[in-house]
Amino acid sequence: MSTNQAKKPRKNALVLFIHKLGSPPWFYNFTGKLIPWLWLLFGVLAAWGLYLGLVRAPADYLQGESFRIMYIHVPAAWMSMMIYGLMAVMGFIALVWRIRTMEILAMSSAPIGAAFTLAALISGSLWGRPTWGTYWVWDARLTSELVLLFLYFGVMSLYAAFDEPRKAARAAALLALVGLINLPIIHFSVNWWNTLHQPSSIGVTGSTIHPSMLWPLLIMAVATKFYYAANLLTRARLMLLEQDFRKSWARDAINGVAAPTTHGEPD
Amino acid sequence: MTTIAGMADVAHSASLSRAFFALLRRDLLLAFRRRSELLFPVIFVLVVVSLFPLGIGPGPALLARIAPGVVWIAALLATVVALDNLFRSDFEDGTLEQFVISGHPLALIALAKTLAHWLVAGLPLVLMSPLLALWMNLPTRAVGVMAASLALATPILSFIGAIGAGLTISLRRGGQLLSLLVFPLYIPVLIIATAAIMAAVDGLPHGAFLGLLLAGLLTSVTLAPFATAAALKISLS
Amino acid sequence: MDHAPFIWTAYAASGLILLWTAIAPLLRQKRARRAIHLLDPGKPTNDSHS
Repeated sequence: MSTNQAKKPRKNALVLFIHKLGSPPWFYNFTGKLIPWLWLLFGVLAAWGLYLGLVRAPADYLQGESFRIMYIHVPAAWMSMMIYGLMAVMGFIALVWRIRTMEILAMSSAPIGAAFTLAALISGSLWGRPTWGTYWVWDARLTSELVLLFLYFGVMSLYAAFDEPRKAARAAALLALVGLINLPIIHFSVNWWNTLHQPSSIGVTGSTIHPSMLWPLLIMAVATKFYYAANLLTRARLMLLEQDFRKSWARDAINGVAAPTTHGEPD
Repeated sequence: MTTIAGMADVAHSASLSRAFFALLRRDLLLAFRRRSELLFPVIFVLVVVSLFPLGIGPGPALLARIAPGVVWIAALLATVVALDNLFRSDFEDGTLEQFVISGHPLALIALAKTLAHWLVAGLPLVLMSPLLALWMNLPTRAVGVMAASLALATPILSFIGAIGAGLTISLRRGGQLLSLLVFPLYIPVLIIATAAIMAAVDGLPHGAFLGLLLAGLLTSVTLAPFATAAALKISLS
Repeated sequence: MDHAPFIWTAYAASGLILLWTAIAPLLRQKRARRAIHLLDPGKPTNDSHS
């Protein structure tokens, strides 16, 4: 990569951006500047959403106060599925085009997705106690989340089992991809299994959602996306540093030497 | 021109099918030389299934109620236990790399080896399922459906499991990890297959469930060998 | 039934899980910095932790 690329015409700015993302020093510096803003946005949005959801929203006439758990449970469940999909898609890109940054982003996603899945499971079972009278019911949603957690565990433990990080990432990415193809089938069969064994299904969709209850949910859903982005990039930077710790850019980054921003060693 | 191309095509496909059957024969021969390993899945399932009446009591009604789930979970366990051997010996003595160098498509090799694995580890389960049904007090009208569900769906387990076996082959403790990787993927098979048997127990129509299993079988036979080939390539790299 | 304890526990548990997921890489980063510093002790460093 030439050092004068920044002065080239702007027509391939996007291509240039993608190439730059593939360069570890550039990625490290760029995300280093981005991450604080992402955390800030998450903090503001989460505070706002929680204020609206926990303080301002009226109690639900069917479920009383316990519906407020929804503001963490539903965004966490959404994130757990979205992150699995993103992880598999990034893994696919990494497998096909062998982009190391993509491998790292896919593998950094797994623990965050697993954390959201766990949060959704715990908040879901705590919602179940006052609503159903028991902490665990094998209902379709909780069971699907549980299977999703197992899928995350599979990807994470396969990644951890290899000594060589790139081989590990490729193997785990393939597993994530197989899991993504299977996920709709699992989801469908678990839903169907649930109706088969529990004819009187217990749903919460009966009550129509009032706008004052919907807004905090949407705000929290956006806030968790910023959490994911900030956490993902933090982890990806760290993984790059750990993999490249013998390279000079990593030492420069650690020692606070201002790394060049317009060029970097090609990956 | 066309005849030459056509002849080359025929020769190519002939060599492909020859390689496929040669590999299948080789794997089956190897399996029959190691009789104790051959019997292992069968004995494993017998032992696991016999543990359930001992663990929860011999009440016939209860046993009949849980029979589909018990037999199917035993089949899942037996498949996964046997899966670790699918590529391991060929990986360790370098035969797998020879296959790759041979130029035959790796997916074809995966298909042949997985099929051989099912013939050795899956087919015996189908054949002995009437005995298991008898033990578990399953009504006679459901015995055939149980055998059919095993015949249709244990190959799915082998084909999906082969992907996991390919991914974990280069790991020292791959066998332990394998079960964690593939069990979540087996859930739809477990749900649909046991639902078919339960429907038959209740005297309800069960053809649709067996149809779903057949669809799953065809999908996994066509897609899984390619994923297995990709997994083996990663492991061999 | 009083629902408040369940709500607070749900938020506390989820918050702790997400907090730990956010902090864990920072702790690991410290270790990585120290390892890199050990490899290359000659250079001055801005990292006060190592």
